[in-house]
Amino acid sequence: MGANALQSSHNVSVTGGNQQTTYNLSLTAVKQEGILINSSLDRKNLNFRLDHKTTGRFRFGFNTRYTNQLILGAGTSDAGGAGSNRLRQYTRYKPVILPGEEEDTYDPTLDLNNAGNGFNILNPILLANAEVRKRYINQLNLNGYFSVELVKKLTFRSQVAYNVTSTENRSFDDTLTNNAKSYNKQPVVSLGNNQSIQIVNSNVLSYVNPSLRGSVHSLSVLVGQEIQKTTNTANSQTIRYFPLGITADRAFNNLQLAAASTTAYPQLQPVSSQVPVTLASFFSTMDYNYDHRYYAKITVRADGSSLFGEENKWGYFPSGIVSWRISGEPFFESKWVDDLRARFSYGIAGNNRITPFSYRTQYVSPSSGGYGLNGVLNGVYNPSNLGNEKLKWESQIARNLGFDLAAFHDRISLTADLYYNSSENLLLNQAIPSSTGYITQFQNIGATSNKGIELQLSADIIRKQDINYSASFNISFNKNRITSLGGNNIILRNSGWFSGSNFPADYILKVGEEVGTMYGYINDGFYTLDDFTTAPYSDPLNPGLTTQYTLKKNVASNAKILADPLQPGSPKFKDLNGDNVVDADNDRAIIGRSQPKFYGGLNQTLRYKNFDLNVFVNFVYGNQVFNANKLEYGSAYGSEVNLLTSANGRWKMVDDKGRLIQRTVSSGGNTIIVGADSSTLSGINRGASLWFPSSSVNGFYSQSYAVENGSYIRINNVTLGYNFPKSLLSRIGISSLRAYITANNLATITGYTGYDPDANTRRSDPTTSGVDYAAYPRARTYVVGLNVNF
Amino acid sequence: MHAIKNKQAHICILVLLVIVLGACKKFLEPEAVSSFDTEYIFDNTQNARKALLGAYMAMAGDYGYGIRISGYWPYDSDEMLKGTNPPTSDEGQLLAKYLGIPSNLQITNPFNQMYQGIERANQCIYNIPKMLQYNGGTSIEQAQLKRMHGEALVLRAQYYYELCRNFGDVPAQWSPSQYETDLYKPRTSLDTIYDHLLNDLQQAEEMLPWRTDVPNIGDQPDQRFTKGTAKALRAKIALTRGGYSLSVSSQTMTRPSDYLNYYKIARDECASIIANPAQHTLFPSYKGLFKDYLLAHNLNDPSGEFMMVASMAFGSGADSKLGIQTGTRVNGVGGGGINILPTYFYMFDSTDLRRDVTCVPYEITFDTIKTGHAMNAVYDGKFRKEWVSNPGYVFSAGNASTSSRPAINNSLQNMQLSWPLIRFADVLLWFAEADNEINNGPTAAAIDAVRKVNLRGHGGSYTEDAPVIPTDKTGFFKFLVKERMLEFGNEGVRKYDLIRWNLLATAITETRARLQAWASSTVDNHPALPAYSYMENGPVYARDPSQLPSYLYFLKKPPHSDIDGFNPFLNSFYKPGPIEAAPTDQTRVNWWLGGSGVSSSQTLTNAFAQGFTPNKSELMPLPQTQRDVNPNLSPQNPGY
Repeated sequence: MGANALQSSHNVSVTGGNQQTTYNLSLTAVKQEGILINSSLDRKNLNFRLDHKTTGRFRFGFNTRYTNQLILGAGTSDAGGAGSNRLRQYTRYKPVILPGEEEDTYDPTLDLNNAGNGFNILNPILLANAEVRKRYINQLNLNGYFSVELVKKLTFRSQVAYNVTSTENRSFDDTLTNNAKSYNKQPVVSLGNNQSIQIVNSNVLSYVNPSLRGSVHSLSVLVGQEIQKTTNTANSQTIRYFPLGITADRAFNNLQLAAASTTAYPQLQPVSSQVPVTLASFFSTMDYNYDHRYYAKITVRADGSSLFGEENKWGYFPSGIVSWRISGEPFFESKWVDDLRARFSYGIAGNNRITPFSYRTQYVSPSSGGYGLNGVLNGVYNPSNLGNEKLKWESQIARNLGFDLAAFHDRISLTADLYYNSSENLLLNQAIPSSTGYITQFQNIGATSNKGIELQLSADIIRKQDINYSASFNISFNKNRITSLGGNNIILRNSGWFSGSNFPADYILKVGEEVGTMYGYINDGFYTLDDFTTAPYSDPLNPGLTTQYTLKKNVASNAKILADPLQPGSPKFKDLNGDNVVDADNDRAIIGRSQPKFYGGLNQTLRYKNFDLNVFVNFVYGNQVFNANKLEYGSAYGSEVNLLTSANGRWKMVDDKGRLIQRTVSSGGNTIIVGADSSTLSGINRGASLWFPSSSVNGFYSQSYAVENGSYIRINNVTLGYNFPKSLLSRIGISSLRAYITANNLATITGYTGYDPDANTRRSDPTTSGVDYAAYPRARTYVVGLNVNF
Repeated sequence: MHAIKNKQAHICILVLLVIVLGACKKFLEPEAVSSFDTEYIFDNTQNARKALLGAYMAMAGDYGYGIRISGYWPYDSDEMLKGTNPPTSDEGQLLAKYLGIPSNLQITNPFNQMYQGIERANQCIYNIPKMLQYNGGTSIEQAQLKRMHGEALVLRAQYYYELCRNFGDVPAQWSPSQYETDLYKPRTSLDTIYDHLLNDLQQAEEMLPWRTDVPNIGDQPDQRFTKGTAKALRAKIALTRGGYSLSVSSQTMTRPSDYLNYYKIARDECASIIANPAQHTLFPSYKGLFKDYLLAHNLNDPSGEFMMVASMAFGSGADSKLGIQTGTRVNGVGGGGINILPTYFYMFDSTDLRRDVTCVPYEITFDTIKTGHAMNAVYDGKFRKEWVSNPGYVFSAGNASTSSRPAINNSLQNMQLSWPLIRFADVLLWFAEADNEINNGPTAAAIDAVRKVNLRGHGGSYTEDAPVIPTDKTGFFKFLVKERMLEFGNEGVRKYDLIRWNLLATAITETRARLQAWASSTVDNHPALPAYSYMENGPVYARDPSQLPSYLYFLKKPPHSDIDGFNPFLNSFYKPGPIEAAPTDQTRVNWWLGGSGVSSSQTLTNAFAQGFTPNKSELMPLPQTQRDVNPNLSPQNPGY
């Protein structure tokens, strides 16, 4: 990881036409190497657009876009739990190459010691070579329309779009991977095809009259209807037991080489599925303005979605905006104000992002598995989800009051927005008690509100012949609040960074709090020798260990939440209710909030003669990040793992000469802590700043140590360009030529200790935002480019 | 004219609107082709059977009886312990050592899976009787559907029973979740749940055919449940209901005052099974039952001794890891997950054939050579790799010191071994136990039942003196406590037996004291073994450790080719042996010897039930993950 990676991007476009027909053709080719080995992206894009206007009342047009992509590499993580984390291999594999080893040496002893649960440590170079992932994506968008002016000002427009996205995933797991290990250490191939076909048809009748009977009243009215049907078809197959030593490409293209199915080494059945989703809408918009001073626009729409049950398919979403151009008033006279406008909008929008057929309880035939009778696997039907007939559209109500100002001959413009948005009937795949037989169910769980201000200020500071300097600054403040959770006051959520359903909560939803609130124990350093009483100890089996340490009665114990024996150097948590025991019921609290207090950006452009320089800086303030990497990579969980440097300050149980000076001893069913005398222990641990890393999952429980300030300022983009003089170019038939150099992600000022304070790796669940776990590190990129126009 | 035109236009618009709205309704209800609603599933017998098999499936896989519930949860007790590495990062071992905390990783998924099974069974129980064919189909269809209804009741009972004996009071739901108004159920008292199950099973008995009648209704003889299953499970649950359990409210071990009523249920059920020997009886060979049937992937033993099994086959969520992490090593591969306690080994008499099925004091190298193990590395044997057949597996770690083969199956995860839940031997011993309790001493029938089990364990005839089965209530009970231990070692039974007898704490304390005596033994001094107070002690010649060998010797290259037929050790397990170093062609291992220093014997002894706390450890903690989701899942179990 961290290799220098090359990227290239080429774009050619041709535009042309005449008064009746215009066209545009554009081709793009992008190639990116990844900073991980064996990862890359190759994308080709073709765009074509044609519009034709007949001399009469007809117009038609056609637009097509084709994209072909090939993505290689397994990345650092997918949305799964910790077992799929690959960043681990890069950070935790031994960082040194021992004598006699190459950088891609296989360490069989280490591999043998590996836990079987995906937490294994392998040479990352070997792993990257053993896991081949190819993803081919073909996207074709066809879009056509025709419109006809029925009578003057009344136009009918019909549009049809046909979008096909085909994704083909090919994966190959060679002998070293966990997947192959489960199947006789023979290579495994998985092939998956996904096709999504979307057909959209909309028919709109519109009446546009900029000047009603020659008056200052302007009116346009639109009524329309749209239907949308999306069909996702998938099929996949996993084929095991390929001959050893086969390459990925040979395996992909010779599936028959896999061993035939036998009772002991069975092959899997292929799997296929098709899921249709439909949406029907009716809408109407009326847009009116009086003398370009008073504006009103009202939209009503009704959306019917197949995702909801019979009673709740339709959602109704009105919205409206009124605005007043104050500067257009006769009484408004100002030399320096060019344009001043006030506007207010109110609108309801719908959201139906749920899994199809969630409204009904349904059975599926699982893709693998079944029940064995007389040794033969029998297919089964299992209920897959608990239907919720009450599911309905989530509605998002937006209220916005805004002002736009342009002044000093448009040299300064300011936009200010105040908003108060609320969401009702929030749709969430909510964790439900497993005693129902299900783990989650889609529900409309509650309501939230967002209040905030957005400001944007742009100014042309210098506007001269040879030199231009302009800057634009924006900043947003937002306050989110959960206003209702149905009947609940609290809902605990598990972000699933470690395990989806098998780990305690690390996020909380609470009425009055904001979404993305982190929840866990509050660290209080570690247990020190002062927390223990001492007694003489002697055992010939443990020479040098002269003292037995027992936790003082008045010191709160963590034994209910950590399985590791409590001893000096154990992590300590705050006993919030003071009952002398740290437990899950009483001692977890809010430990962080992932939403920033404000964020924004500053973009500055300086042009001097033929040179131009653009610098874009963005910033975020007041958010917190749940640094799950720190929990895992700071722990000793796993076999022969490397640790973060923070472990240098750990509590030590071994002295400088490598002698054990503190340990647990079992005797008669009790575990006792014995060690050297307290002055020796305290001497060695005088500089200790951190507890000793746990070798169990104990270190992974949600705790305030993982929560870090995520504020940052980043120089996101710097571009320096040079435009060659036109006089020079015209001689060689070029109309313009620009050369530029861009640096992305140049520098970040932050207190965050992880790779990227902006990482958000649990994107599928909005309630657990701000988790940084095995994110693909943000690369610094440099681009050298040339734009030529003929 | 104009008006008519207008009217026509209105009608046209109206018709158009109806068409549009009708089409719209249809458009918004696309057909689900890859998922099925309940009506589709419970429309015919074949689909309903697949739904029922889905309910069975929750018994299989890693989170069912594939490993967690069969291999982690039932340890440690006075027979075996799981793992010797305390303190450890192995969450399964922590749980077995009673060091589980509410966030232990090995609790949640099995807990969830049991409820998945309950929901699937609930769907069948709710929907199958509503099917047209249930009362109106052909007689075969009716019989098959009634059987399926009964099976679903038995499955639900098994899942609740498994939850209750491990977690105490748990949420209970008796109909499919889609018909429940409240999904956030609090804990229901375990007595209420058990009583419900006893009623259910009584109903199920009427719906299920006897084992040999299965072909008469057009079903295959296989591992689906029969009348005998329902009766035996009813007896099992009745004994648990009438036994001790850790009460969440009083935080002590309690038993209901009317417990004898439940013992009567158990006795009557067992008696009615015993009265039908054509359906279920003891298979003559104890070893054969495991080697030739269970490990040969055949659960249809002719005697019908396997009355209830969690059946496994190759498939995700359908298989088991039995015999993979446990058992002894073969050609360097696997094993070692579960240790036989030295104190358990010496509870068997020298002619008890069950000892060598249950305990394996050696590993296998080069396919046929038995390499003796020290006493602290005697492993469980009922799921041993080398006996697996039909198909069998060849193993090799690829290490020249243990095999001449290249590495093969050294990371095999599954062998499709099924997990026995109830054997007919259980029925005999439950009958004896209930009878003894009800009559304040055993009847002749009870004594006969125990003798049958013991005699079969000795191969059908005694070569030594037959054991004297006591005829007083206490003596008979203590004999049973021992007999069940010898009969069911490694089958996940012991811990739960000891709990319902309220003997787990005693058993752990006394076993620990005995292990300590073994671990502190030296060549010159084998300290006396404190006697067991709660069960009959082992054979007379094994009670005095001074008569047990400090070392055992075995030939490095024995002249045998039949690996099944010999014990590798040259000297007796039951007589003092030599103490000198082994001759060059032999190897010596520590046996009744703790040795000095931080010995492995000490490690084993210290690891045994390390975290056991009375009035806490009899239950596992409710999973924190589920308490986070369901605030009504309170309070947590005592002590956690």
